[in-house]
Amino acid sequence: MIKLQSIRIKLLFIFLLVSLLPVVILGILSIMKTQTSLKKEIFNKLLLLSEAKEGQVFAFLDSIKSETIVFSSDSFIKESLKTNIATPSSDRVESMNNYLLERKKLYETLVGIFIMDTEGKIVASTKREEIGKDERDDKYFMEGKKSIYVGDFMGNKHPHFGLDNFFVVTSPLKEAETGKLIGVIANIYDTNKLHNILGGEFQLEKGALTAHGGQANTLEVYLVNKEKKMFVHPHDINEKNHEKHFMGMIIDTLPVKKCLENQEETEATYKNYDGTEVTGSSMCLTKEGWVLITEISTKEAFIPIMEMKETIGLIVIIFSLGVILTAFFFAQKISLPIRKLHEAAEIVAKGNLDYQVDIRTEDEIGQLGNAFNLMTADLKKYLGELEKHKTELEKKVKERTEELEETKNKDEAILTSIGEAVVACDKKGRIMLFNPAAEELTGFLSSETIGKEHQKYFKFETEEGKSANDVVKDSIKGNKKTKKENSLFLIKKNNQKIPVAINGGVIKNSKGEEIGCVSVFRDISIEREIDQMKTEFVSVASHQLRTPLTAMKWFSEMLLSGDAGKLNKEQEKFIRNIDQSNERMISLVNSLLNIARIESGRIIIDPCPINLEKLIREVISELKRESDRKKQTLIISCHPRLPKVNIDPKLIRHVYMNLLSNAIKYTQDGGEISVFISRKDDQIISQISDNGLGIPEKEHSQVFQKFFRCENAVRAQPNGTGLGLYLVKTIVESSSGKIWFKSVEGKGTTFWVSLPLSGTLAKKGEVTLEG
Amino acid sequence: MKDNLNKKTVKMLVVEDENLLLEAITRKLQINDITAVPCACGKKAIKYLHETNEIPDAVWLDYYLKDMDGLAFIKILKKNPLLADIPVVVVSNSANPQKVKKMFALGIKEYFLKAEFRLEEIIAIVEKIVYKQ
Repeated sequence: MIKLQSIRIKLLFIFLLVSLLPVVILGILSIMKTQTSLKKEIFNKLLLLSEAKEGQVFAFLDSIKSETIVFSSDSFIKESLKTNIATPSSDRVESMNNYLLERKKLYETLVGIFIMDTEGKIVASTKREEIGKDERDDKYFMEGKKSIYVGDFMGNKHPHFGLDNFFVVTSPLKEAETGKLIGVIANIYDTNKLHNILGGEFQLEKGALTAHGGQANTLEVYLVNKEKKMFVHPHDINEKNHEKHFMGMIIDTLPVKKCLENQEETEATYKNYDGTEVTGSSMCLTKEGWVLITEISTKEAFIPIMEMKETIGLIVIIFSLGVILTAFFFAQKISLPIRKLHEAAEIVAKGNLDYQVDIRTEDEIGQLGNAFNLMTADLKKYLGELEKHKTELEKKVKERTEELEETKNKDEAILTSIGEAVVACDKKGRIMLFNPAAEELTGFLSSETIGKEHQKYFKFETEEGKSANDVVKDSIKGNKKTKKENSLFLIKKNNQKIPVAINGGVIKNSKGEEIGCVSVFRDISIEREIDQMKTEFVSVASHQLRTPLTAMKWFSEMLLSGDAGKLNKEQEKFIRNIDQSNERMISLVNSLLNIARIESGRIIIDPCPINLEKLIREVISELKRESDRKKQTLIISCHPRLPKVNIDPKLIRHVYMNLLSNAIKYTQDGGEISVFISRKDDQIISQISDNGLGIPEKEHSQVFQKFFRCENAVRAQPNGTGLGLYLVKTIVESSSGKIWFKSVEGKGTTFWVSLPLSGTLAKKGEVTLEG
Repeated sequence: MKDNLNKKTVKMLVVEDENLLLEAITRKLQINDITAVPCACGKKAIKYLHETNEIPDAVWLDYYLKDMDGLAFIKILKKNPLLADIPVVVVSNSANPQKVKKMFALGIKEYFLKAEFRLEEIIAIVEKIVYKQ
């Protein structure tokens, strides 16, 4: 099976198919057609020949018949016979014989003549031997009695004249006047003439130029009698000795059968007496009962067709070769450029971008070639640019890497030099970074800790000794930066415990994903000491300061109550002054202590659900005496459904106490103080307004500062510490609230405090506010 | 300030280590017809309580004593069934809220910050407590 893979073979195949097939078909058709017409022609020719020969035969028969008639009307013969019959004489017979002989010489083909009497006995003949033969049984005699008769004499039991193959023509001898039959004359002819006629020599002798029906070698024309015996066969002139062989042969072939049985003349192809395939035509000479057969061997007859087939075959072959060559040529023309392109593609693929493919045709393949070359050129250009880019990029990368290295080194240096312990963990809590300060702090080496679970190396305890190891975890879990109180103790490698402060945060990458956490630890032993000192101071101060203050307070009280005797006006006045100053001192000491406590961060925030309105009302009732004394109006208005807030009542009470007492203090007699409590979104807003002194504009920014008192406030109320608002602000902000104000000097002041509905976060501490 | 109530003379144990304050308190109590038994230190007070026949009607206790702290004193008191019922009032300069809670848990009746209160006020409240008994 041809593999149809290459274009060449495909083209070849198609070419051949397209061009040869029709040619072959045409060839076959024309051969068939020609075969048919040739056959027809041959039959025609044979027919013509047969008919011609038949005509010739008939002519021959006619001639011999007329010869015989002539003889039969010969008066001498008739007379002699008549006389002889009456009086037979041998002389008469002799003279008859000689007469016959003489007459015979005139006719070539006449072999012999004999005359028979009415009984059939031969009474005279050109050959004496014949006389006396009895022919009464012979058909020719019987027929000859009636009329002229021609018959063949095939292998007769009675040979005449030394022949057993002849024609006999008989004619009755009738008396001229009466018409009475007196005898029968028989002319014996040999078959030579007919031979020659059938063979064509006759014509040639007569002067014709051609007579062999063309060049047909196997053409045979012969006669067969009604006994199916061949009796005339003119074979090739050179082979006259075959004659004897043929004569008398039984020809039981198709035409013979058809003629004798069906009286049909045949034109057909059949097997002859030889068994050879022949094409023949037959003529039925019904009167004589002969069959004239003209045969030619089919092979010879159809030679033209053979030749034609050969010719056509040759043409087809030459044509095929031509087609193959053409196909080859064209296939080559097409596939060569394609192959070139294929090679070019391989070469370019291997890296040779300078290679240009050489296809010069103007067709699509040529265009493909051009496009390929352009593409290669472009590729080369782009690759060149890419290379350049690459080099540039590499350079940039190198630069960046160097920069990063530098930065990294710098960062590392920074980290290493940071005085505080820095520890970073990944998401799983494994230590990624452990700087030298951390090593110092914990006593572990970074080589021990890097990559390990942080909890192995970071163990914490609270002040009370409870382990607090989720400290770092908490700072990882939380999303905000977390601050831890200073009550954590780190357990060093040597089990020593040191107080630390941790500041932790989550590490996020540029996508915002958590990748770990970083914590900074600080040994706060010193700070704790300081703190402790402060605490001590505060408690010492509160005790040591307060004791004399209390003594002064109580003794002044007793004096003023008259427990040591009645005082005169002046004495009372002086003591009152002392008492007032004392109260001031007490107040100052209280405030200072509160501030110290708040600043130390040790204030307890203990929130619980508080009804703010109630708290404020309580504060107001405590201050009522003073506001009544100053004849001021105190109004409170509250949001109807104010929910309870989680706040530390002590602290918040302090706030309102301060704001309201300020309002009362710094508002004139008859003034108005109002309190509004409302809710806005998630905040509770308390508004405390007065129409009192107001705060001068230029002092607005200082109002919340420690020890600050406005000028007009000092004038109105010389006894003030200046610490109230500072404390209030601190408390409010520690309670996750906000405080702000608006004020116009001489008109009044309004303070707002907002506290979140969510309340204050509880805070562990040690002290509360006092006073 | 003599009040009109019919009362027997109230006796109060005053435990205060500051002499000045002790003097002031005692004097004031006297003026208010209350018998004051001053003790300048915790031990002395305990000794007195154990030895006396007359159990005082109330105890005025200063928290920060030189020889023991208020809690310890209260505990001793409460341990003794004879003394456990005496109402105790703690008057102090300052104390942290946890300690105050503990004191109340132990059963003191009231707690005062010295500097905040006038003697009169304290005494009035104490009297109320005593009369409640």
